[in-house]
Amino acid sequence: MAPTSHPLPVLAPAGDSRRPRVLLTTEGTYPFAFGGVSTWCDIVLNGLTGADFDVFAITAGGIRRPQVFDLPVNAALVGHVDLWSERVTTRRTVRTAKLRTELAAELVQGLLAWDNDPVDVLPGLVWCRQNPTLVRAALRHREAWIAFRAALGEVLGADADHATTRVAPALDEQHVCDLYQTLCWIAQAASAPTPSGRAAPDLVIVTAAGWAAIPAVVHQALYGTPIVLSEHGVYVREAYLAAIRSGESAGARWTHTRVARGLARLAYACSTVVAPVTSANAAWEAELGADPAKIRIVHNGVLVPSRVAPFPDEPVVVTIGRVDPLKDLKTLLRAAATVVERYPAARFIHCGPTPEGNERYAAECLALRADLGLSTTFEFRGETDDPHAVLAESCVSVLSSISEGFPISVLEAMAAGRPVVATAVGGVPEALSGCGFTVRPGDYQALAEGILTLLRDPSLGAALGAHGRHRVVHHFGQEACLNAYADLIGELTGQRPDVSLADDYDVAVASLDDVAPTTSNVEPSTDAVRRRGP
Amino acid sequence: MNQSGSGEVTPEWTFTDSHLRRSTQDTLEAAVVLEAWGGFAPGAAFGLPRARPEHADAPFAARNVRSDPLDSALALGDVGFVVGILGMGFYLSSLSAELGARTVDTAWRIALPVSLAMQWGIRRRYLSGSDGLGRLRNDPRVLVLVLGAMALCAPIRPGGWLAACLIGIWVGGFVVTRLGQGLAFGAALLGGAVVLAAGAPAPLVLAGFALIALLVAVIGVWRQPASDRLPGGRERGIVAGLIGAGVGGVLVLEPRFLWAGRPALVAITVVPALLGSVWGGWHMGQLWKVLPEALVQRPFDPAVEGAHGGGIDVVRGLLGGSLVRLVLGAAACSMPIIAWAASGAGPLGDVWALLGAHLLLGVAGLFVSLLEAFDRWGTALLSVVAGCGACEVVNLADPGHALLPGSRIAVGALVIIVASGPALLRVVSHPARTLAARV
Repeated sequence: MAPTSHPLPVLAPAGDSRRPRVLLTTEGTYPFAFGGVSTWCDIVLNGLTGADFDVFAITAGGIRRPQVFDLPVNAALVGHVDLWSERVTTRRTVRTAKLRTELAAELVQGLLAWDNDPVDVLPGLVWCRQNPTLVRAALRHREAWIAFRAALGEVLGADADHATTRVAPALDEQHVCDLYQTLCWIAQAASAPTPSGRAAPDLVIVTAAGWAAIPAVVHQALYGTPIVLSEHGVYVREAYLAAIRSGESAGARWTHTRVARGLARLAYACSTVVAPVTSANAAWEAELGADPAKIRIVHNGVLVPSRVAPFPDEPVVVTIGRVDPLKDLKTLLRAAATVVERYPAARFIHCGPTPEGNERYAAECLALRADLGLSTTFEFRGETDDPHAVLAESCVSVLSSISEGFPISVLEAMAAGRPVVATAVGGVPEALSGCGFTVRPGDYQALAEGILTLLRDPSLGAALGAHGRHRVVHHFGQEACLNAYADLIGELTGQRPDVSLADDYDVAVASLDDVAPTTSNVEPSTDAVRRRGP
Repeated sequence: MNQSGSGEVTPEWTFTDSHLRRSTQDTLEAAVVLEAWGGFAPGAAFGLPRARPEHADAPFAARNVRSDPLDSALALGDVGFVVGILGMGFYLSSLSAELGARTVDTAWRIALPVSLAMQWGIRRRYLSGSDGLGRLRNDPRVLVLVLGAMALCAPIRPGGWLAACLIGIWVGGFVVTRLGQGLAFGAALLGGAVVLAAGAPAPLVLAGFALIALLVAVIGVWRQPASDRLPGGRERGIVAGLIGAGVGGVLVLEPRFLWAGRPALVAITVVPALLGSVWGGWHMGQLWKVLPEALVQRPFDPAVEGAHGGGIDVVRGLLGGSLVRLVLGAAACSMPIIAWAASGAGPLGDVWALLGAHLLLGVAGLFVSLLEAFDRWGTALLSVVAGCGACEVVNLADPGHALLPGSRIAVGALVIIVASGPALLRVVSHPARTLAARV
């Protein structure tokens, strides 16, 4: 059964001069962590000065998290749910409603079953919101547990009946407990209050098609508020990648990916507009039930530095991004080894933090660096708050990811006038489109070839860089991104917010002619593979 | 080999199985692998022919669950702390002689519930998990709270200052024990009894021990690596503290708590139950390791074990083992005391009564601590409130103290056991559900 489209909300009356109020829900990102999504949130909140933002953050793990972003004056943190923490509320009240003992079974059927309509879980999630003090009692009830197990058995049975498309894993009782606990946390996230009454938002922007969608869809079900889902990476794809590299049992992989799939389908089904940052995401969104008519691509945008720093004399290659298996730094290291072997003067700089949980991967990268003899030629610099300064040191920018949305690091490199060699994943080919080399993910030799080509031919690098800068200014500047969101907000609320750009933006546009491409016909070779079999 | 629905080999699925070194979970996983490692354009893999995985239903294979061995240093520290309590029992005679029995009695009655409340609250809020001391380090307000409680008690007459010292010693000593220094701390307290018996001024000795206990605790905690985990909820910490205070309340509501000029006897008779509780507590502490290990051994079958989901035998075994250890440990440690009393050195009947009462309180403490750990804190709190109430009822019914010493403690403990027992049995009868819904 295909997911049901949620009814479109009624637009606010035109001519209302009130500033639009937007609820922004985040998951593990803004304002508590750095990264692409957080940067995007920061840009939008600071740029859409004509709107008021209420930020609702979902984090996990009960970790002490200082805010790493200062909220602008038009924004406030109104909610924070910390999943899997010990700080869950202990509120108890006199029971005023019947316990919804079928809640866990509803969640299993709605979220985990392959073909069920995810919107079926909405009544249960709304009940959690309306009866937050009864959620724990409902989920602890014997009937809830028995119904949950029966529903899970049905879901697994259905998978076994469709073995041509999926494997029914052999779950053990611990998997079942873990899944139940996850469902308990979904119910807790649904029960968290969102602003209502006079502070009620006119629109909800959801920044990931996962846990961040839970408070949004509940709010929508209660108040009819439209939802814009701004998807950067594809949530489900990244959940599968995380499961693949986790080394966990088949049962754990199954439960994690099924929950992610269920939440994503729920988010797509309920969103008024799905706004991926690249057309590459749209295929996934449609596959997972998003109505193609609701999909509107809004590319990321970056500030363009007012001038291009001169290329350094040293052949320096820079990569910016967190230390994460998704960035496939091991492929980058192997490519670097190939480059250094054939071009000994080359140096590599990686800038980016190691997020919590990735310490082991970071250690593996350091070990591989030592094994490849790159200790002096490949530098891990850690986090940077000035990517432009790092890019100014470089001749070439590299991205080796196996999964991306529309990477800001690539756009920043292009804006800085640097040529890019990147893996053809997500929206990277769309971003580069003739302004750099794309290679097959994991193909370190092709990556090395691209880097070597640019190091050996600086004029080609400069030409590609200039072309990329031109492309960013005209297509992927902050102005375009912010105006697209202002338009969306205006359409859905009847109140288009003002947009403010950074002071130096006009300077950047004005000085663009200084760095116009030396040739307008740069057609770099590309190793990107389309539908090529293994 | 993978085959499509029409029976043809699909090289894409062969690639994904080969890359993953296992059967591909589903079509989405295949698409992810083909995009991330096969060079397919986003979405291109969705249109591929579906394939039948190699193993439609993989045989069940139990997983391994990592479990940590019992920290022997901490276990020894617990024993040391109990020995320290025994040592403090010997202080009582000297203190009573120097300060007066009423002063000492009041101080003990104030300090015991307050200290237990703080110990339970600190344990719940900070000390769960291997980085508990690091979490405690992050919150200097705990020290302020302890010092505040001491400051509040100090002006009470008589014995307030003594109560403040005892709170410092017991709460500080609890943390010192968690730092792994419990044995040394217990030995020092025993040594203090000798110093007191030698005529050293009691106020000086007690204040000195309180200062040392708090200093060692503060320095030890300060030297721990800070944890980035948040402490547990404040409300849960407060409730746990109230439950601890209630357990202490049952003990101090006994009117002849330090009675008949033999105050040390109370401390001596409480030690067997304490040691038994420590032994039983260690055993029960394995629950969160043993239960997951048991659950991974059991394949999920919705038609079987629908109500409890497995692990019931493990938890019942642990609970039974804990009770047996508590009773056996207490009985074994009681033997020398009974022998000593039977030799005519002490009141044998009173000794039997006190040993039995303290044993019951140990069982009651185990029950409510388990309920609290299982997040059934409401029942645990009500049980200790009922236990304290029962003590008061007996006090009203027996104004002349005709009953044996320790009878109030026994009644209070029995009421706690009766009130909390059914809830505990319900919880342990469905351990998987309890584990799963522990949010």
